[in-house]
Amino acid sequence: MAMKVTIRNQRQIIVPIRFTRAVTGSPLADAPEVDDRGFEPGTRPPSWGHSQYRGAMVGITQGDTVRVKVLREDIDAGAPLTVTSTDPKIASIEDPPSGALLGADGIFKIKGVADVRNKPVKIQVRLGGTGGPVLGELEPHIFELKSLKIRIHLVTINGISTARTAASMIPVVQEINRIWRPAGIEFDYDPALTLQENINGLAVAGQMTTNLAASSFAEFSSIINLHPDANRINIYCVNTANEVFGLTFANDVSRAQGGYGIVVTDSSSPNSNAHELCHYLDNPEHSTENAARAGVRQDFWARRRLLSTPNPYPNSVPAFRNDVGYGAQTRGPQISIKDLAGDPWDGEEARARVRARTPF
Amino acid sequence: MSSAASAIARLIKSSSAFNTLALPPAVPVFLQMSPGFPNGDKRGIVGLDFQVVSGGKVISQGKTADDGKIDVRVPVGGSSTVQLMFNGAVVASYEVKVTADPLAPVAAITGQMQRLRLLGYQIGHLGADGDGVDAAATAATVPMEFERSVLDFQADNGSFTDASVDANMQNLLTTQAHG
Repeated sequence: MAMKVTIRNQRQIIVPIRFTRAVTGSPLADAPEVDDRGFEPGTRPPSWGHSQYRGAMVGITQGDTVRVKVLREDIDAGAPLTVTSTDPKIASIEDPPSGALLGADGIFKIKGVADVRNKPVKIQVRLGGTGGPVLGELEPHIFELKSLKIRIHLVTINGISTARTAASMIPVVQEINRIWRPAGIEFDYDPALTLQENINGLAVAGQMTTNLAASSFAEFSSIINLHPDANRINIYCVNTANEVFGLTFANDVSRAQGGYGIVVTDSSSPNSNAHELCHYLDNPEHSTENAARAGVRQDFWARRRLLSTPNPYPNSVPAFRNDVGYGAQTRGPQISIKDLAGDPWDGEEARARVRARTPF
Repeated sequence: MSSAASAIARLIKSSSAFNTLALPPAVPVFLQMSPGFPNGDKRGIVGLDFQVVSGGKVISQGKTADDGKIDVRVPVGGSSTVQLMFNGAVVASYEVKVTADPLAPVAAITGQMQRLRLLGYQIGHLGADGDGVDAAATAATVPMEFERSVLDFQADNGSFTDASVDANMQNLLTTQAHG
């Protein structure tokens, strides 16, 4: 069936396709968020090399195969499409097989073959066969996996302990790792190293009490100085907190002071814990905020990002904003790979990976 | 190379008039990999085999150059069909109409939809014409595709992405859509 076009002002541009996440629902390591925010590539770290692609980006851990979806936005649903890579030694198309047409669901599989400096690659969607004209482009960026060791501390405050256990943290870390997989970062948790911590004299039993508006976080500082491991990211689990699900120092605080860690509450989700780790890895700001740190964004892009806040977020209009693909009022796991000129806190993956070289 | 031979009508031998085109002048349609008119970069889809059909006849055909442009002649009050070809078969088509109506004010959602659509942003297919320009849409009822297009436009123009079409966005839309 023909697409309808009404030409106004004596000219018309048609952009047939775009890219998106292959599925909706909980984060999956093989179905990453696609950074489809605009078609301009934005700023990129020098080691990523120069590319003239115009489209979306996706991060892939070296060796992984992930699914991405082509949306036939402005071309017939039945138009025959094929997918090719400009450099299969960097990123290869695993499905559909070479020369085969893309299925009606638009989903294809890319393998991140090698993380090579200054070797950008383009995934190209073509009309017809593999020699057909290129309708749209996606840039995958392949990341060598960085593994960061973490230590969990189970904290009892004035006699009331966290409900979390070493065993219960295993699936939490697994979920965190699914979220972080597209950035090529994993968190290595050894349950046997989990520490039990006791602290007394805090204001409320079981609770970390803060007054962030007044920059009062003495209890936070006390907790993260409980036996910090100098060679791991220290995560302290507490029963509750009066203001937050989790808290991490701003990244301009010295990590050499002895305690530089994260506090999370029992009611925090794995997504919230992954959010705190994103702060820890040199991304101190929230994606729902402007340059003046006012929470002005309610659009569905902002809510898709791991660093949006709050979570769950309040309903707003239009209604599609209230489910950005991960369930009602649930923020997404996107760690931005593009670094857009108009976004004051963008380029999160690159920043996190730089910090991951010296994380402790 | 396009041709319009079948659309040219020759007057009778005794006429003093010159040859006359049966269709209005061509209007350019650009098939591109990304929206917006190029700014020193190459966005056009190169090498698309196409034909333009009007009144049941092929009135032009060719292959797109690096600007992705297809010149389309559309009868007044009617439509033409742009067909994309692969190996000699039609694999996609666009039913093209032309309106001489002025664009709606850019402060109105309809005007924003018209300009975003003109620039190639993917605003969906609601509305009476099926091209996403929906005169009934309000701020509370716009589809996701409209908000995504506003965000795309903001991102592509280096602006703060918040889906708000403020005065600056309105100016950018007007400038880039030439009206």
